[in-house]
Amino acid sequence: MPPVPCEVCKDSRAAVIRPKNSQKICKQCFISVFEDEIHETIVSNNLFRRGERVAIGASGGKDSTVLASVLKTLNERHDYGLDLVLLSIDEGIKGYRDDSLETVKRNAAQYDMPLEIVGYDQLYGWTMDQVVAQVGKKGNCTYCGVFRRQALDRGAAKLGIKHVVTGHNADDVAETVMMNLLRGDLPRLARATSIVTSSAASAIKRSKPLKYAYEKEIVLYAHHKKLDYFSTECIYSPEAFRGSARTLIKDLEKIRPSSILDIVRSGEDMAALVPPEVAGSASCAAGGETNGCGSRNENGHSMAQMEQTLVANEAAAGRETEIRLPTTKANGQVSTHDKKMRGRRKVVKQVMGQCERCGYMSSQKICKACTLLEGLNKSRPHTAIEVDVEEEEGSTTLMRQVADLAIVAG
Amino acid sequence: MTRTTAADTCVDCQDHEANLTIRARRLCAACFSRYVNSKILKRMESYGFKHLAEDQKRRLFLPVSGGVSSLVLLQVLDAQLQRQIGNRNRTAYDLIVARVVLPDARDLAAIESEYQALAQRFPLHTFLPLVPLHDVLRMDHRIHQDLSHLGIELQAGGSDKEIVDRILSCATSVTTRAELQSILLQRLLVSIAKHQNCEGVLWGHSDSRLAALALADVAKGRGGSVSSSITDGPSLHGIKFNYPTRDLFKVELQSYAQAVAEPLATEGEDDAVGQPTSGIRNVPIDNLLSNYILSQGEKYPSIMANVVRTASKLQVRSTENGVVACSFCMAPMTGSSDNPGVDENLCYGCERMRQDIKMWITR
Repeated sequence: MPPVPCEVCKDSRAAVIRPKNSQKICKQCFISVFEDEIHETIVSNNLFRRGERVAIGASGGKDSTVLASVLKTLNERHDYGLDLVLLSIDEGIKGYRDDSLETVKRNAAQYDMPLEIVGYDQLYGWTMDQVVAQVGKKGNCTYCGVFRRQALDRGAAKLGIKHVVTGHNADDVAETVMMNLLRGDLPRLARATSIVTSSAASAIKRSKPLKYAYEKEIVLYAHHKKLDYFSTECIYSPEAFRGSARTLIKDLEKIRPSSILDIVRSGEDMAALVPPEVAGSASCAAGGETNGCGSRNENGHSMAQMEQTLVANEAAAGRETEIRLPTTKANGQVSTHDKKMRGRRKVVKQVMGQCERCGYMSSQKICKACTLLEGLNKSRPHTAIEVDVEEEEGSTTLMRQVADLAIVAG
Repeated sequence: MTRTTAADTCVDCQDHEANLTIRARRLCAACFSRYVNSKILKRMESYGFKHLAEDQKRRLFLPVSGGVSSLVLLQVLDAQLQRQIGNRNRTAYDLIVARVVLPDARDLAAIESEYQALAQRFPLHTFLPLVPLHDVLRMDHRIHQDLSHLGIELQAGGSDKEIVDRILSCATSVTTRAELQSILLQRLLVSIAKHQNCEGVLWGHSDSRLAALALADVAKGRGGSVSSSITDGPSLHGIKFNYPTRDLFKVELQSYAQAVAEPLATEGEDDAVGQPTSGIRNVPIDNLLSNYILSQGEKYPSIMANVVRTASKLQVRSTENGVVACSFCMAPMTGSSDNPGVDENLCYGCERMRQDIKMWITR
């Protein structure tokens, strides 16, 4: 069988079958097409402006590594004029995060970018190892997701940066769309597919330049460019159970490779159809989307929990005994159908404000991270009364740092 | 002993022994039947007498597929109309029943005999003759022009059946072939309903099926039209769509079909539902999602029901708001397309389908 020529340049031998559309192309053309598509996404959505300082959320994994590499390449090639910085979060998971951070440090050297690392213990006084020891493995991803999202914003604020880019890819966005549909979460469905998300209370905006890039292509790009990345999964995140949104999306991708982009497109279209009074209500921002490693644990737990909630709601609705007097409609007809009269329940609009304790944005008086932190601290055994000089200094430093962050964020 | 006895008594009437579990509630056969009937008839209230002038006559179209959902719907509505005749000596609406024979139907004689048995069992209604799918070419006057937007040009030559077979063979993937057939089927049914002067179409879609349809639409890039494709009321076809069985799960309908006085004979599963998912590449997206809904529905039935509720909350676009309908599938188009050079007559989903269709012109 003769070798297949590249469909793009017709010269070289095809070595890659694009997962996105099954196109057979050579290695160089694949790299070129991949980068051009991301450039097109950046330009058509006006993600950046000249002179902007941008922090790349870097975990050492394939998505953020590819993102950093591509942004550096495009920044030089197309002269975006960006000042790029790597921003990493250290969750404090021994054997996992310390190794991945070594990868990020090497990336920082290879790409010649400054690197800033923010740790959970530094911000919250707790590492994830300690959190898991306290609350167990079940549900710990909720803590990590809440802490991480806030930590990323506070790290950026500390650097005086107002734009954070993350490595969410098309598979992540499609999974989010499906999960929000299964959960019946219309507010999140309304904003899950936005390529740029920002809020009135926070000056820091986030964007996803890889939003239309397939996960498989990201792996292929990293492979062909011989990028250095860390690929171990989080040790605290149990394997996803059968039937999660991720599994469904992978099955759909096998049937029709374009399904992932089709789902993203559907998510965008549905976002436009969410009723305004629902879309406007902002659920707690700290509870927003988590990265891939976090969604599994939460998803597994919340499916069973939500089922019980919905069953209870239905039983309660069946017991409803509210009686309404018949009302006269405009056309003179009398209607006694409660369902129609009740209409849509009022959605309480949440106003984004600031947490009383740390100054971070929150729709409640106290933000989610502080609430979780309070719960953790209540259970923590008291230390001895005697405080040595070293501990005192650390504590004072932490208070000073938090105070500084609060001022900056405010 | 009192406790043991009470534990297995019907929770509704507290009288008979419970032999069914419906949504975690133990019911006897009579209360279960009442439950199913009330769910369906509640959705039919807009077609009651109080919305009807004295001499007005209403006609509703009910397509049956041989599956359990449409047969249960037919049986329940027949009972309602029988009661109306008994009470008022007239009915609020007439039912026009039809069945379409799909190209891959295995036994035409068996279908014919089942359909005739159905007509004899429910003599109150008008049963149209069996309709082959290729009648869409004859009855839908815009079909030729609309197919050309997909790159399918129809020219004289060959019977209608041969032409439709070739249309379906243009699809290079099982998903697109299934989607093409599904849209042609819907257009045929709508054409028949209009031809019969029917006010609306009663689809026998269960909650499980609507959830699968909603997720499949999302997976095929048709998320913008998912709310209009599962909502009761006017459709962009110019005729009303109603889903009276939308509040019931498929397993509940199956239980009802067996519990009813004369069990409704349904043919075996004509979908691929229940088939193992090995060789997943050969399964259409719709069947994958039907399997997903059925398997997850056993564990989390309310979450699957919630999918339909959520999708129904999305705003429905209609031509009154200046929305343009896709030429082929009649779904509302979503604003301006961001793809340059895309046919402005097709929605994203049909545009996506067109990429899977190889051009074909009759010689």
